[in-house]
Amino acid sequence: MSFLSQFFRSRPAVSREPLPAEPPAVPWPAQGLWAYAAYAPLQDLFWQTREETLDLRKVIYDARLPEPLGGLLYLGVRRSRRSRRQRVALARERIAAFSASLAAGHTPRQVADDFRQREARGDYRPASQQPLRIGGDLPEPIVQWIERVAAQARLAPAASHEAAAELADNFAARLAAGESLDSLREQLGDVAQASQLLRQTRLALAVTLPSLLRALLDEVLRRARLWPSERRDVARELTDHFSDGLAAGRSAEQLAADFGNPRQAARLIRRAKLRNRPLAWRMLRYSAQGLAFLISTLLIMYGVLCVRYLTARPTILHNYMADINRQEQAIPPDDRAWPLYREALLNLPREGRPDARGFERNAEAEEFWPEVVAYLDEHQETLSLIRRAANKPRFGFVFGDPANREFLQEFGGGPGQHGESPERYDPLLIECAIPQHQEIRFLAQLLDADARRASEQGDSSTFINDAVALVAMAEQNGHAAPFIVVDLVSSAIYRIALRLTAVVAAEHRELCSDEQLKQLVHAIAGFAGGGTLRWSLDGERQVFYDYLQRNFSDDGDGDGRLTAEGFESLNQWNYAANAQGRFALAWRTWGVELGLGGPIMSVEIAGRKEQAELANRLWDQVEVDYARPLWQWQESSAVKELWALQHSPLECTRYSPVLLLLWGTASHNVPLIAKQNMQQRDAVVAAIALELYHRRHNAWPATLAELTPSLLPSVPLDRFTGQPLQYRLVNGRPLLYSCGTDGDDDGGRPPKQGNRHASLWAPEAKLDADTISTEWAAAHDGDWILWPEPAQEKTN
Amino acid sequence: MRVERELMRGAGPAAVLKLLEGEAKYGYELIEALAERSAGVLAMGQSTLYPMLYNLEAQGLIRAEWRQSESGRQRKYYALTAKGKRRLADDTRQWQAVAEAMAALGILSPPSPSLKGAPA
Repeated sequence: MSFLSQFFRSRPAVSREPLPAEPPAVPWPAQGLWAYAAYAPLQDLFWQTREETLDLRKVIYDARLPEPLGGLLYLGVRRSRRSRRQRVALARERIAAFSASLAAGHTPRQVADDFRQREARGDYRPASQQPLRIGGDLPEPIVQWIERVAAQARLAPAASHEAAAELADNFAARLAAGESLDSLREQLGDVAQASQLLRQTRLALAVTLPSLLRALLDEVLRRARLWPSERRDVARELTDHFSDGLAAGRSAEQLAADFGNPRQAARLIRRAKLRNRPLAWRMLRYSAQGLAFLISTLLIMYGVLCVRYLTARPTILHNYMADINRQEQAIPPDDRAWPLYREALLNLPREGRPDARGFERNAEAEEFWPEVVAYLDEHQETLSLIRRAANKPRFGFVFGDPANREFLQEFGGGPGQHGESPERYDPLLIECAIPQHQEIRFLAQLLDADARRASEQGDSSTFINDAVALVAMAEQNGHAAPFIVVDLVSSAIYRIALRLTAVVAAEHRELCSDEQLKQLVHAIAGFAGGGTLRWSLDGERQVFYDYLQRNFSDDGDGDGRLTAEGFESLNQWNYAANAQGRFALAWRTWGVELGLGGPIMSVEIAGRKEQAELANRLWDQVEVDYARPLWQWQESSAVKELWALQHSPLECTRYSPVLLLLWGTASHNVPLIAKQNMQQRDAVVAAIALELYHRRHNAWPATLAELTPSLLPSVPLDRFTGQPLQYRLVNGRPLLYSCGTDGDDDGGRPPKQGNRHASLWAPEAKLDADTISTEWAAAHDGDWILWPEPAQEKTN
Repeated sequence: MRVERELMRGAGPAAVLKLLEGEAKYGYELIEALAERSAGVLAMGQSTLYPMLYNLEAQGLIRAEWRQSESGRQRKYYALTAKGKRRLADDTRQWQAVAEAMAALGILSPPSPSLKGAPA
């Protein structure tokens, strides 16, 4: 309740106590400029007169009335509920009346008593505020009925008085016309009904109708829900009609029967009256109705969608982690490398490890190299353990194995990160943590550093053991879990082995015997079965299927719709993708991350079956397109389709799960790493073959073809051109290189921006010289130097 | 005789316009006149007549005016507008055509009936 309404509600009623017998004297009038300004009428201020003061005290004081008349008049006039001007006028009128009475011989006390009685009766209040008094000779029951009807109608005082007077006139006329009092009393009827009709119509004539017709009229008017002016107009017309009928001698019952159905009448009257309303109002009404209809329809639709959305529940039928575990659990314990790696890692806690920069091959690393060497010396036994682990045929990590708890405590998210047991571990595959593969990279760095130190010390046996162990470690990882990220770890370790071998073959030519070199080259060439290095998206498909079963409902026929859990998951992925600077799904800009958008999104986002079909089609296409030799690569149509989906607001939303989950895998990046590794592998094998050739002939061959078939089965290919690998002698030393990204022979010159810029592949490489941008062409102009590693690369 | 509602819906407005052709009338007069001059066939209650009057008013075919009656009371009189006269002429032609067609079909017997008391 507002302050104002409280103020008005608590406002004390005007006192109706009798005026006191001995009132106080009239207060002395206010004097001075402000009193003059306050009590002078506005026009007097302009005319500079003081004749018409509005100061009540001054008016009464100047009249010099005998007591108690002055004080009594002052009190009585003040509570008359009139304006200031009216109070002053009333005071002047009473003063004149008092003077006349006194002149007629009445005593001041008599005049005062008369004034008190009249004031108590309300004679000095405005007519509208005076108590209702029915004049004439109407019988008391009729008068009381009229007074009650007028009071309960809660009309404005003036209207109430007018209605009461009209009613009284009407009844008086009817009595005068000979209608009996009993008949009249019978027709009076219910006061509440009559007062309600009076309030609705402000029409006294309507109240004089027989109660039956009054009820009829009241019902029609209430149901018609008209504007007040319309209601009064209709009431007046119908009242006239009934009055005419009654005057014509018809009974109220007959008139009510002839009237028809009041509900139907109210409906038709309302409809007709609405047509008569102003055009602007009707336009507004139609607009409001249209808007209300639209909103109602949308709300109903949204409600249906909410039910549909909230009743969708995922059904998890397949434990994909169990498949992965089953494969690893089938490995005999003696063939598992992981228990030994785990032991080694627990011996090498994160605290106390040398600075990671010491493992690099650049100028900065030299500063930290002594620290690395000291660490190696300290952990020789652990290094032996790592080599023994690398000699095992398989990795053998079982998710949920209680034996991993200590490792997970140290290197993962806690001892229970992989659940209580292999059988009970059923995570969302895409969120499964794999600290074992992250940490294995450190072990690879240790082996690499140990091999480098051995090569510097002329310890060929340790070098060979470490290098072969690195290749084996890469091989183990490649088969451990079907995730792209695990494949990438395997590739990274393999690349460490390749680089190690390439450096030693160039800088420590005499380190290894022929047999040792052959052992090393066989290990390197035999990685992942040799020949073409394969890559697979099978694991990513499992990840996607697992995602679908946990975020979509299942209709039993391979299809289903997005669930609330799925929408929340998509939002989280969306944020993550955006945070990584990749892209944001269109709905970020639509502001529907809130749960309210879920029901709508569940309709817009394609069903489970459609998502799976699209993902599989795109992956199939990627696998086909990038399985081709590198020199035949074109940008996959799947990648183009993904780009098109991302740039279409509706499609982007519709296939958001596909976009978010395929973005990292449906591209040329992973297959390119495999192609680059093949190229480096071929170059390292060729480099060792060149060394063996030189040992036999004390000279370098003129062409690589001279290495075949005794040292190489065939001349390795330049993967960017499909031609034999580039070979030339520079300053009496052999140089192996690929034409690189731009595909043309630059004579063994690497790009100015670095050797790796020639090892990349991009769709632009297939554009003609006129179309390609000069910046791109300049960045990739040069050859990819494979062996020996260019000096520029060593320092970078 | 009761006339079907659909038939009344077409005949009622035309009848009211016709009654207002000569002079302005108020509601009670109209009801009385309809009942009397159509021999009760087109009699209608207030629940039908007044909405019809308001509709005709909304269409601009009649106009309403409060004025004093001969008895001295204020009454709402309805009078035909120019547009109402044109509509009445149209309706009359159409009803004549319908009546002739009905007669041709043998449903009505010529001459076509005219409202009781209506000008010839």
